[in-house]
Amino acid sequence: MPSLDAAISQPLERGVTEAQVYAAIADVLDPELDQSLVKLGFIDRVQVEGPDVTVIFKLPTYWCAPNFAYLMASDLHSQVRALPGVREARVVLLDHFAEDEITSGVNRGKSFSEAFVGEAIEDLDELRRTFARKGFLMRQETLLRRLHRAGLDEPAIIALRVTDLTVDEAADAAFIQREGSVIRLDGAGRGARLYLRKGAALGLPQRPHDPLIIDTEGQPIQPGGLQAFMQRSRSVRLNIVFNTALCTGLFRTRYGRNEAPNEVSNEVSEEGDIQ
Amino acid sequence: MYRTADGEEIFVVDGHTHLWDASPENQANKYGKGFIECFYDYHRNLSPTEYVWPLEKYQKYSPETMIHDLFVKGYVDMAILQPTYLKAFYKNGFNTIEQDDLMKRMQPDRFILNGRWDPREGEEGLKELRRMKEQWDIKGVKLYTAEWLDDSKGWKLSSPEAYRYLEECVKLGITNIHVHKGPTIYPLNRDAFDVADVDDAASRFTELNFIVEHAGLPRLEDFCWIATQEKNVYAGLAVVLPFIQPRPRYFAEVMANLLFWIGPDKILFGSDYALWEPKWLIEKFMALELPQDLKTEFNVDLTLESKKKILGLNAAQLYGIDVEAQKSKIRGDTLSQQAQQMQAAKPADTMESTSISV
Repeated sequence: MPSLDAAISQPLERGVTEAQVYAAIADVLDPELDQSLVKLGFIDRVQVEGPDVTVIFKLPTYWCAPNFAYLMASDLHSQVRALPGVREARVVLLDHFAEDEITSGVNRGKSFSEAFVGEAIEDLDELRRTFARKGFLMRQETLLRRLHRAGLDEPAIIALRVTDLTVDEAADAAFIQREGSVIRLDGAGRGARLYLRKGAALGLPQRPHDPLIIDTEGQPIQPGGLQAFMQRSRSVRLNIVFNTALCTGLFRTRYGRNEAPNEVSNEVSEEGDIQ
Repeated sequence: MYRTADGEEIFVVDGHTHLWDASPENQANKYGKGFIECFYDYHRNLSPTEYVWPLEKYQKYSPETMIHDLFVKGYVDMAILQPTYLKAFYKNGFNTIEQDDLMKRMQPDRFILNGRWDPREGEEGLKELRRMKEQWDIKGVKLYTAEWLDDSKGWKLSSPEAYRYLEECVKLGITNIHVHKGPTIYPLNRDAFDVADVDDAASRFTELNFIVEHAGLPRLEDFCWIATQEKNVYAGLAVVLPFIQPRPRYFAEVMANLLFWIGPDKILFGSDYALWEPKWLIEKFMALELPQDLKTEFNVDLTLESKKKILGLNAAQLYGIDVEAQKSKIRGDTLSQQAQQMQAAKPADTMESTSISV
């Protein structure tokens, strides 16, 4: 029987756990739905063989747009590759009309236009940005509705600075500092945090004295312009919420209820807010 | 014809129907299989349980079934046949104009036959379009910008080739352009559902009407933004309306948005048969009352007047249908009688109302 000393002095084989992989891919989003693939239940399974990891995912339909699918596959691949202890990362997409091009392209590190020679003329940065902006507007609109419900009028909302917002994520509460008093918004904490993160990811100004509410170009809302701005953002949110219901429903119909580890409910509250 | 409890008669035009053949014998390849299976998932996901068909029937159903589902069961007075070719997936096509013409010949007073075109077919395609006009006097076409042709996986409505065809449509008096935005489009890095090309085409061809099927979903908000600015852009309700069954609140919100941005004169009912059956769609739609919070927030209402427009009068106007004349024509016909018998056998209060919790 090997001695304990001998066992400890063996070099440990590098590797990762399934849980670590799930944690690494937790923030990979479906860009159209602005939700985590893990939460949506689109990750079919994770296979770990020592230092080699395979992530298998599925989508709601055979025809889901290949550019979106490529974005997701590519993001999954880079998140797994970046995980310490991983030697080889592989992503596999199942049941999709372009699964071969996507799977082999992503695993060979090809860009989208390299994987789809002659069919894609550019890469996916613009697509990514377009949907990042939509996600930003949706999160902002959710916050705006809460501010409105809390009694803030247009001038008050436009006057808010980044520094006026604090978030207690654990309590899921947001706090708005205004005229010496603090307004507490229950259930708005995580959403507010997401709003700030999405703005930062877009490179929008978020210094303490920058306006809290800005458009996707980083410009503040002009006086008199908030209602029209909110109407458009409301449409953006409704569209994302609707698409989410459609896509998650189709996915369930296609595959039956998918019990992924760490899955959070796909259901959206009646108010139409995505968490 | 839909009859309300108060005896109001509502003339119904189903703006979007097909007689398709997606049977395994007609599937050319795995894409043909994948296509109909995807349709079947849409059908199963959004239909009430008792309306779900077996896959085999779904792949290929009979003309008699279609006639019965639309005109006897389904409250529909007239239906528009919208050919969708997909010859890259189906040996004889999914539903070509010739195939749909079978329905037209069986019930000439009940069906309106549309054509289609693909701008990548060049001069040949233009000749074919002129032939369609000559043979069938078509007033509208169905366009599928995501259709595959050889190496091409799609086309844009705002391309020079498409404009050539749109000019021809103006010349030939084909005024109704039904656009379906599908999942793949060349170049592949573009957002597959981008509706901006409709905007360009609609501003350029103000004498044509552009009906954007499923209201541009999943780009609903972009569609609304375009349609609110162009007088000749309409929303088709396929794919949107079925949500009334599993998610009536969402459907109500989308309706409120559409009414706000484009108004009740620019919205058209379509079942996309056989994706979904008109019977339950119409029953639920008629029973729908917008929740008060949406009425207030959007300052709109889904009145009986609006429902009549959406269910038939808007389409009637686009297709030059004299509603009263048409009603007289079909009032006594066999299908109307069968429909009346079927409706009489079912008391009005067995229809569920569409309740929405706020």
